[in-house]
Amino acid sequence: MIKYLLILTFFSSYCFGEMPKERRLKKLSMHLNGQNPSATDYKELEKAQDTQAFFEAKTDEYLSNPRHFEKMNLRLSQLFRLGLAEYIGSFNRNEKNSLNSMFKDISKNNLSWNSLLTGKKYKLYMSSMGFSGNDFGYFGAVLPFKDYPRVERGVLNNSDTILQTKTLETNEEVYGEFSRVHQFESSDMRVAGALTTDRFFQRNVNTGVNKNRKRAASVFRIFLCDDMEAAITSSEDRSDYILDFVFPDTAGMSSTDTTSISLAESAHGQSADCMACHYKLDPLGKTFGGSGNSLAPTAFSGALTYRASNGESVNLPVSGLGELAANIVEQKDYKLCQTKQFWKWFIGEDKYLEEDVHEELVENFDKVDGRVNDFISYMVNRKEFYSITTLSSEAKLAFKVKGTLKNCNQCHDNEGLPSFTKWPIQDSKGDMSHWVGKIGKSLGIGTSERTMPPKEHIWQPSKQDIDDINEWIRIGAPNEQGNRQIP
Amino acid sequence: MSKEIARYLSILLMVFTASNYAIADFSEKQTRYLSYYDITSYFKSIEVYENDCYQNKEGNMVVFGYSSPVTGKPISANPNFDFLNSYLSCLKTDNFENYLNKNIDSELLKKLGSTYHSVDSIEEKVLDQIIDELIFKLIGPEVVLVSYGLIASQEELKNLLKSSAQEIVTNENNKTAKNYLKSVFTLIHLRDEFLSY
Repeated sequence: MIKYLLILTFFSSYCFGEMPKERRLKKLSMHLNGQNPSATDYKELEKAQDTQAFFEAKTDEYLSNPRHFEKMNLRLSQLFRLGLAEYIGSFNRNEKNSLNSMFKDISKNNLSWNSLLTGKKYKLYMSSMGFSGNDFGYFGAVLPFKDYPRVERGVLNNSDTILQTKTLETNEEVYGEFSRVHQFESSDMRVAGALTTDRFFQRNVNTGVNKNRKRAASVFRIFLCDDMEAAITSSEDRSDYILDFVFPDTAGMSSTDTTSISLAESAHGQSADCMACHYKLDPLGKTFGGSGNSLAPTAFSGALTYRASNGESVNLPVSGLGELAANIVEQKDYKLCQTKQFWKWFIGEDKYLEEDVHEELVENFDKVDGRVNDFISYMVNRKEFYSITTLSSEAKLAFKVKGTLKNCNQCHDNEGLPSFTKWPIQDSKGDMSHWVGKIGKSLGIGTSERTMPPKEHIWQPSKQDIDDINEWIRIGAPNEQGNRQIP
Repeated sequence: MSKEIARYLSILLMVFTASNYAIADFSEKQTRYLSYYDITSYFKSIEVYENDCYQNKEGNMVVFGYSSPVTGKPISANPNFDFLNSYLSCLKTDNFENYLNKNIDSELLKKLGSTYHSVDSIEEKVLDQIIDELIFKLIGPEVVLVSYGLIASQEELKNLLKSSAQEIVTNENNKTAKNYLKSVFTLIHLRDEFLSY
């Protein structure tokens, strides 16, 4: 018993304050390099007279380690939701491609985070797959002829040739190895960093139906933290009108049917449920126009349209992906989103990011011009990195409930209602009380019938979700710091 | 359940991973488990990374906490039995002595590598030094160990490791020094203090 009390005492002493400096060193090393500090690191720490200076120097050292580049590659691969299947044959598609190369370069060269969108420099790889499924095939319509690897029979044109041939100029093996760096003009509106890479296109496949909306949705998710849910019906008999619009049965169609489908698609585009997302997806999707599996030879115009977190409507017409990217990096929501992502990576999503601290992060992100290592250095030397705090049960519940209410915003955001996840709702405790009451009633809490979300909507709260919200309301709708927001 | 997992689960009290006592998970929390990259590069760095483990790379990515490409969240939040299965199958410990300090006495090294020398033939003081060294290399100095709040002192962990390893080698009827220290080596790898940061 005494032993467990002892353990508890040790644990409690570290729960709410700074961790021991040795633990901080381990955390730093694991975060940046994925390995334990060396015995020498510990010795240096022991001798260090100025602990903060030691940590700053050690941070720089760890940030220049190739392991850090690999860790950032993994973080970004997960952010871009690149698949598990790394290999096609023996070719590692998560290694040798312009996107992953960009992920590593950004940390290797301490580039601006914005270059993920605005970068124009690509390391192009040739794979054993011929021109399809690799960078040379992807950029086929826009690269100058001279940039292609040439072999005895001219420019590479099929996988058989690639497997057996070395390039004429450098005698390099082309198979899975050949690469070349290409820098597009800064004024080139066709290209936009990570968005115009073969890997991004392959991951977000385009079809006649989705019309580049999948790519647009990824842009919103990754760069503006807008994770959209499809508003497709969940009805089992598949007779719902929205489902028919989205997935028409095309077997044996006549030209009249095709016209109907086209009309149905337009109707889909105007349905309120669908428009909650389509009003922003469609204009952005247009900038990917003309691009199937490879990049279009000309830039396509479209627009960056969305409702910003401060409630303002943004509608910026753009002449191509390049201009779209340049506009995104100027958005406050982009900066809020990216700094939040860094917070999650280096501090932890279970540590509440207060509004003023978030503003501070944005300010520092700007101060270092978004240079990735400089910003990471700033993050890991913040007190939150080397403090351990535990959440109260109220705060944990608040996190859970906010996650659930986020689903409601998907549609209501477009209806002029206040955000249900920006607390207190409408900035006052009185309004919070009003809205919490409405939310509870719509979810059937204290009434006999649940009216929201509509039964045909794809997202339905689980019994646990409802129970959590019920409990949350009962204990005064606490925020993530555990403070009551309603009487 | 594989024999190997059963062997280590038999001393579950030691293993916080995959139990209700786990202090972290695979998502981006303040305290989190090693990522897929961390685990696999660690295996490579200690040269115990085997081909059969590498062959199952995609399966391992899932159990080692790689995020689902659909949801963006780890497929399993915590290390589960599949994790232990893959982890232990990758963590080949036959040549664990290579991991020890290079200035270790060559005669002793020979004994540790041999399949004939009983653990009883090695002085307890020497065993203690080796275990201390393993704890330092895998977890860190004592202050780091206790900061996790799972154990009160290095001495206590060492005693726990020794008694568990003794239990394992007795059950397996293989009381060689090599088998004993292999067990200690593996047991440390199963601690949350090793697997999380």
